[in-house]
Amino acid sequence: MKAEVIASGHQFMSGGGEMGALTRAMDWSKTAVGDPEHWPQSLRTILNIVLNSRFPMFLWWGPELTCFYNDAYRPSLGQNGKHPYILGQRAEEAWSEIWHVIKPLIDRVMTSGEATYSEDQLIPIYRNGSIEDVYWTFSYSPVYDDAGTVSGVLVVCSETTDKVLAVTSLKGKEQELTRNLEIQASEQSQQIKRSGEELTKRDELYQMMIGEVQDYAILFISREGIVQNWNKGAEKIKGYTAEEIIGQSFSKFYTPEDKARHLPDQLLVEALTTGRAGQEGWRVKKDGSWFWASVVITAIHDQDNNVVGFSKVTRDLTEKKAAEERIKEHAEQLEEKNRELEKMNAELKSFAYVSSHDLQEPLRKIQTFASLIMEKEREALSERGKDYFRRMQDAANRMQTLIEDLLAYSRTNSSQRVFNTVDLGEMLSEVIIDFKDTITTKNATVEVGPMVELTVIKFQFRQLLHNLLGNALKFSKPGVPPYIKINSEIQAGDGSDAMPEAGEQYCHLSIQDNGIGFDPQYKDRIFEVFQRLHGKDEYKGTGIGLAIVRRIVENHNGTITATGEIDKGATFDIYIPVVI
Amino acid sequence: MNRFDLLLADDDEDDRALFADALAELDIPVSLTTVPDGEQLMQFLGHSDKLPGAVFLDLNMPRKNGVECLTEIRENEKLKQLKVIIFSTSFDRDVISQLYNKGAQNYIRKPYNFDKLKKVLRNALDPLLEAREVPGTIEHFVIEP
Repeated sequence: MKAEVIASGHQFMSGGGEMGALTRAMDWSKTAVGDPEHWPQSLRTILNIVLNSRFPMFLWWGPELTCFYNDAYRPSLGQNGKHPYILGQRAEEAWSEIWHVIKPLIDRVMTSGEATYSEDQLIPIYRNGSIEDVYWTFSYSPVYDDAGTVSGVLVVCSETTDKVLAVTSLKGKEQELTRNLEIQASEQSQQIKRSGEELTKRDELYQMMIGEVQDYAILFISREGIVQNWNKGAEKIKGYTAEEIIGQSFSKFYTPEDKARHLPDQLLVEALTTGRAGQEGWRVKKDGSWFWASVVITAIHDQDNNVVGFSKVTRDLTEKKAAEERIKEHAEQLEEKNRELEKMNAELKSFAYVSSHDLQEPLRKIQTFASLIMEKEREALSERGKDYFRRMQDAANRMQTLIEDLLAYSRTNSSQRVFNTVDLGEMLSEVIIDFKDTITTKNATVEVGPMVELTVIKFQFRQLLHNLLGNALKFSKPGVPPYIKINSEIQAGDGSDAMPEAGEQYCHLSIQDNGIGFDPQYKDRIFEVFQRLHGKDEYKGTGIGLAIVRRIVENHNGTITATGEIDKGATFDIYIPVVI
Repeated sequence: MNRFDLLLADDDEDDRALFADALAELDIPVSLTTVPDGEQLMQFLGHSDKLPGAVFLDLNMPRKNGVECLTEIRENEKLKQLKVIIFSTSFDRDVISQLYNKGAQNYIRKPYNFDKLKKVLRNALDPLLEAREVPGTIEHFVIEP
């Protein structure tokens, strides 16, 4: 580089990088400024400053405004633009496309000697193969020659295209943003307006809804218990109009007793501390009458969770209460009846005891002494006396049977229920032996079919067989020898009334006779206590036998049915679930 | 042993008389002593040197009933072997098996007929008089006329 400087011999053109080299290499003699040898000192000085500055600078000099510029300015000329040919060119040629813009500025500086300053000015230039919009911040300042005349214009500039574009873009964005915000704000305000309207509408609806409710008194009361509003239900239930009650204490609805024990205050305190208070009790209407109220008081909170008052919902449950009391009364009556029945039951049991002991004693005496008289004093009686005596003995014997049957019936209830597995065949044989005299007398046939084993209360089941066989023998047709068929078999449950549980096993015991039968309309009645279908003169009996049978069947969770017709015999079918 | 000593505890005067009449008609060598309740029965037994051949014991008696007497007799070392025959109107199976378990010898239901009374007494006394052993099972416990 030093060699170059030496070569050119112009100290003021030293340095300056590429533009310095180009400036030095330029044949200035062909330009308006002429050979550098003759350049004035002021040009030399300013050119030296321009070439060596790192700030973009451009210089027009002389009557033709010959162009000089430095390395820092070069990028502003772009690729394939004015660089490097405008060096040493006349301004009017070099900047033809913007000459109309810059010429006035140059002229002003040249004539007035005052500098210009423009910020972010759009000055499109030809570069990069086309005219580009380029923004500049620049100052045109006068450069005086040695004679003190303005001979050049120094342009100190910086390209601010990027900045301007960035700002523009920012501005655009800002505007967009503002626009959006405005739209949003407008939308929101509309929405708020709408929801405000909705709120008002909802509030009105809500008010109307509460106001119209007739079955509940719904009111708002202040923290102090003062009634603030009043709905139709309140008017209907309590009798006051809104005008009469708003502004008064809700304790007005309470009975004097409840007021005396501070119930209204207690309920408010409870609602205040727990959020809710519920109570049922008597309340007073405007006309002084009472109604049974179910009351719920709920604390109402503001946004800061302070209690601002209470909602109070009251229902008139007077009728429900009355109904409940009727039910309660009925229940009490039932309980009373139950107690009476239990007492009667206990009395009946004690009657069974009395009949088993005390009642039998005198009867046994009557019978025993009667038997003694008939045995030892028979001869002392007339025939009529003997007849009376026999009738008396018959009556006493009937009474004995009655007492024994009653005892048996009461025992089916009270005695211990011990279940044992028995052979029904064996049990039946014993029972047949009990009746051997009758069987002989009546010339009866008892045909015993297959007999199974069954788990039963032994003495009760023996009684059952005894009563059924006794019945079949007793109700035989006059002059027809009784024919009695007894069968038993195990059957599977089929969902019928008699054998309801499918999968369970049942013992079906049947006793069929050829006796007098019965009118089918009495098929249920014959199992009731003291129900007799025949007069005592025709057939002896107490009317307890079949009642005992049914009770025994029930004790074994079984069923019994009777089928028959008058003069065509009767069949008793018993089904007992098999207990394993 | 010439005469067989029997003791009857029964609060019913008629029953005591009927029992004595029936026994007399049976024409068997026995002597009968009667007491009207359980308390006197236990006193009598406590004071006598010689135990009777059998005690006929009614159940429903004032002051001390038959079951209480039986229990005391079976718990008393001296009376333990005494034969006790229950003689009662009632015929309750539960009561009967309870008495069997407490160690009574037999159970007689008071008959409704004088003739049957005689029969049942004979059936009860014959084995005792003949010193015949009868099986002490529940099937032989109740004596029927």
